[in-house]
Amino acid sequence: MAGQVERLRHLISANQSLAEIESLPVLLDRLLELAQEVTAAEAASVLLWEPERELLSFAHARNSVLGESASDLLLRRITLRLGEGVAGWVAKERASLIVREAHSDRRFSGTADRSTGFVTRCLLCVPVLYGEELLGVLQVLNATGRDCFDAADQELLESFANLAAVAIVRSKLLEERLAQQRLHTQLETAARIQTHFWPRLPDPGHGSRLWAVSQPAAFVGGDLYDCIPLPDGSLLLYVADVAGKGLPASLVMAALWSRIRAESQAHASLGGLLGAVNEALVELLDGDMFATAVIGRYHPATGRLAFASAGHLPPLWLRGGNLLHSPATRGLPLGIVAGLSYEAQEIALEPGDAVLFITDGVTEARSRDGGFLDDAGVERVLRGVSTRPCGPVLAAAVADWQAGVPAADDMTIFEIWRETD
Amino acid sequence: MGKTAGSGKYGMELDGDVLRITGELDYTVSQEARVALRELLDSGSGPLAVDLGGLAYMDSSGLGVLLDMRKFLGAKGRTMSISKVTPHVSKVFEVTQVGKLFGL
Repeated sequence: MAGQVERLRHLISANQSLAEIESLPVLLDRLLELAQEVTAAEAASVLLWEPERELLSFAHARNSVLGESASDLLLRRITLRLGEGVAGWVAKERASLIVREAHSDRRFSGTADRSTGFVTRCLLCVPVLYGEELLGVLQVLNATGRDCFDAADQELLESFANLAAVAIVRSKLLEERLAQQRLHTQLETAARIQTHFWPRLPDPGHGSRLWAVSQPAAFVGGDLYDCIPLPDGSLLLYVADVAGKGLPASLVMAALWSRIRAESQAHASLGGLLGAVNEALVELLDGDMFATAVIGRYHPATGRLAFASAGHLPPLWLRGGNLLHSPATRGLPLGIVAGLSYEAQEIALEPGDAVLFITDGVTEARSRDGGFLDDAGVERVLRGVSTRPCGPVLAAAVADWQAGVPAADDMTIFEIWRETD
Repeated sequence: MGKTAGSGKYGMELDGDVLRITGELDYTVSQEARVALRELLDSGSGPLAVDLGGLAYMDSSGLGVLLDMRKFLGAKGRTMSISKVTPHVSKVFEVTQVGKLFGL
């Protein structure tokens, strides 16, 4: 009766430890201490299963006879394969075992004894399981004051093993959550940095104005827009879309941004500029990723806009509330094939006209039922809109269209318009 | 009936020198589709005909999968041409002008 009370007291204490101690090493050590005490064992240890290495290794060990030096040796030196030694047998069979005469039992390996100098007479070993998953084994060695451990000890040690299993799984979950939090923080930082790529839009003068918005589907994205004032008073402006999204696309986006800035003043024609950027991307990415882009050179004094496209959606040209057809351009996306040439076209914006460069996050916005906004939807939204800028109307329509559904793609709108005289 | 690959979202079936890709090829499956295609096309020789008549949707990542396949086959001295495209996929080829790389 006294023994039962003692066991219960230890089990309650172990339960309390599980609730109070968050650190897995401290908790496992406390469980071992309680297990050793209640079973009156000379030594106790826990071995954890490492699925990647397919090995059992000592995580914690206590030895009242030899002290810490023996535990240190076990922790540093000894590992067991599945089926090797008593611990390996228990792990393999997922069954508890009491060995009364260790040295005459064929399952006993003796490797640990030879390493530490400890003499194992008898032992009790139980598996640490979480459902069907093997996490390790828990063992107590050499019962003091009696021949060996008994069924009551086994039942108690199995209870301790259950507590250890909960502690191990809880610790793994906590680690995963921490790793996720770290990743989340990095992504938030990356998202903040990416906003620095968006240019401060200049006032082009001569009654011309600019407006832009870019929204990544994830924290960071592969959409990009930029506006670079050139020495002759014109503006180089573009929208680009790197295939894919998230971090990989944003890395390519940063490379593209810097390359276009570097090449922006080195070419007389837009075609030459796109050709040079294409060469650089082919060399950098070796055809693994690509980007589409539409790039324009705008002269505010005259309203002339030359533009060229690398596999990108054509510009939307609005006069009053009507959509005009901008001339077609020719050119593959950037980064696929070397040695390409790109051609430019030119249009003239009249006062009140607007031109929108957009990415396919606009046309391919998907509603809850899976339908795309599409070119027809964009036309429907913009037709009759004579206010400027009209980009905000389009952005709001995209948001409405995909209300309640996470955006599948990055979305960018860059608008240039001339005020009415 | 030839070799097949794919997940719930998309399917691939190689029958001799004809490859059929069906369903939706987008960002969420692009990486596994790249790997699956390379495995599927590891053996074989000569021109490959790609039938996209059952491919309802493809985004830029899906287009990247086809470009990767073209590069993979090119390294083996093989060519590929695409036939039978759905309206949506046809538009992607038209806007990006990449269709001409696949004989469209």
